[in-house]
Amino acid sequence: MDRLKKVYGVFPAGPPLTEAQQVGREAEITSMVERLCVGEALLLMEARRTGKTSLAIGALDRIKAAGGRVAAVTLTRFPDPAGAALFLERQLQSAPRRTLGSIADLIRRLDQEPVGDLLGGQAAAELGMTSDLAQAIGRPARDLPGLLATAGGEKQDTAVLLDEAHVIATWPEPLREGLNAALRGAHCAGVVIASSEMSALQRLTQPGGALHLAASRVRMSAIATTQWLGALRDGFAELDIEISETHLLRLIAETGGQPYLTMRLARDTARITVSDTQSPRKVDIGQIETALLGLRADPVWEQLRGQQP
Amino acid sequence: MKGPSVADMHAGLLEMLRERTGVEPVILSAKAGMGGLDLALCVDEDNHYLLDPVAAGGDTKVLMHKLTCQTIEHLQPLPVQALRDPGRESDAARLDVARYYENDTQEALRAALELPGPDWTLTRALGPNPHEPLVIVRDAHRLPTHMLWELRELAGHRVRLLMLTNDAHRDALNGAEAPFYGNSVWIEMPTLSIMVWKTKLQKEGIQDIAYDSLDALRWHVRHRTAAALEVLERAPDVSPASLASAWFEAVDARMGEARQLVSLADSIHELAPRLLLALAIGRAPYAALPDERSDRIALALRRLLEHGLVEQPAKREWQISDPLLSAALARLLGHTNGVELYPR
Repeated sequence: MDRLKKVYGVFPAGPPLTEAQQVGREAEITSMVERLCVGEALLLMEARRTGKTSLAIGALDRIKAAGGRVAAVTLTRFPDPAGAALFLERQLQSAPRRTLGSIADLIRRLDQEPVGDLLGGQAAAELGMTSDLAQAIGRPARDLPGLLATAGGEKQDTAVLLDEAHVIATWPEPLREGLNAALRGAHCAGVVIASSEMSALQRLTQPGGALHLAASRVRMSAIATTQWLGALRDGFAELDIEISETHLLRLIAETGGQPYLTMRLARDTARITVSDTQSPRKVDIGQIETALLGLRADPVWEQLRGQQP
Repeated sequence: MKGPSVADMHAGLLEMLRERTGVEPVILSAKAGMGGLDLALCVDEDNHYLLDPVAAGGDTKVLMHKLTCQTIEHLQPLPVQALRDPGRESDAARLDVARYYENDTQEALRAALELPGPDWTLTRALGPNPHEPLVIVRDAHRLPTHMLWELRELAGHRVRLLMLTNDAHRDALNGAEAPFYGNSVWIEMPTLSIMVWKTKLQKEGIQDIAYDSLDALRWHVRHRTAAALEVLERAPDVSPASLASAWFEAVDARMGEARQLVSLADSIHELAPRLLLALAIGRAPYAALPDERSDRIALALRRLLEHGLVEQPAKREWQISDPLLSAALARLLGHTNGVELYPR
């Protein structure tokens, strides 16, 4: 089990990757960080499983490591946009501010309980709270445009990822208009807007759409074979598995260098190798073929391989 | 007759599920009567939560309420309702809950004792469990999409995830636009060969079962493991007469469910009761309802499929998913044993 976990750690394919786990994205992350730190809104429109979220997370992690504020939300997680705004706001708050928010929540609830009635619905004032806290209690939750529009005004660099952003097309019109105005405003945070649903995003970028003239499209480049070769060789070596150059080239050729498929094929080959009692330390052609059989049976193969050369 | 369990029958698959849920989300596709849930519950008996959207009546608040109750029951020894009571014992139990949920304690207790608030999420209901619990989702395709997205996020680092569904719903979970596209492994629960059955039964001390009897039993239950085991368990011995009688008992046990289903099925679609009865006696849906428009029949079939009540063994072929329920429905129409055994 531990060896399997190690295989999945060395060749991660599925959840978003950290910068260290990604292959050949360093320059793109650097460029993205620079643009986000000057408050640009960037549009990542690529097919699923090309590494959009990983790229954005890589940039956000660097900004955070340099002392900036970052937040990320998968918009499809929240049927109500207000839920997404609250989720982002909590991530952007400093720790003391979060505590204050929790106390404010408690006081607000106290006002709704029978004991709150005794205090005339003014629990904060009756309990002698500071005006700052009372203000925090009274302040309504900001909507997403309001949050983005002001987030860039802080001293720290601020960057936000709006993932699965095609759902913006389903938001009420005033909110979509507000988002457009916020993204074009002077104090907007750096924002990455990512989605794979091209048609919905293209509608959003047309005149009158929420992203019209508000975000620049960023394209992700293909990863060179030499970069894959180096990364895969290191990965197999870390797992203490021997693999020939020919076999490595075969893995890359099969997937056309598509990021998810390449990582997945390497992972599945390694998984099969470590559980193979005959040859647990050296990749042979049978193990690669077995991994390919499994991968080709997954709908993801047909979908993604068709997009590659 | 005490026979093996579903876990005994599918021991290799169980091992695989234990291994793979440790490293990635798993989608287990199991037909009705295979015992997918029985198997899933054995993957980690001590550290799992069950999300069942059907048992929650499709109400996400009830679903979250049940999940919070399970979490709280893992934390302390009292039944959740006892947390309302005053006293030292319940104080200690509430303290355990508060130490776990910290700032979310009040909301968690509200979610468990009444119903959760609108912003109570799966993440908050599960709390900061450091032991990577296994979350089992029954009929995962019935979960609202936003919850599937949230589960996907949780599965990366907070929980292990095992979702149950069947082939008809692959696109909802694993399709090109679904949350678990390229982020899960799809595993089908296999039907077992007669040789596997023989070996496993012998291991449990059931030596004398005739090859033909076992083959007939497997055929009657369409090779569904749990359904076959249920019949075996009802049989006092392995004689053909005992097995036949056990089959009738198993169908008898479904009669109440069959009656209830027919009386409630019109809430799924107006044509659903007639379709269910027609399919149970082996009639083709469009021929069975010649006076109805084909698009209405198609819609009714689609709804029944979504509810897991019918399945398509092949293109343009339909049958009731659960073979025992199918036989019970056929009996409601007075159909005789020959039809009951296997409508097709």
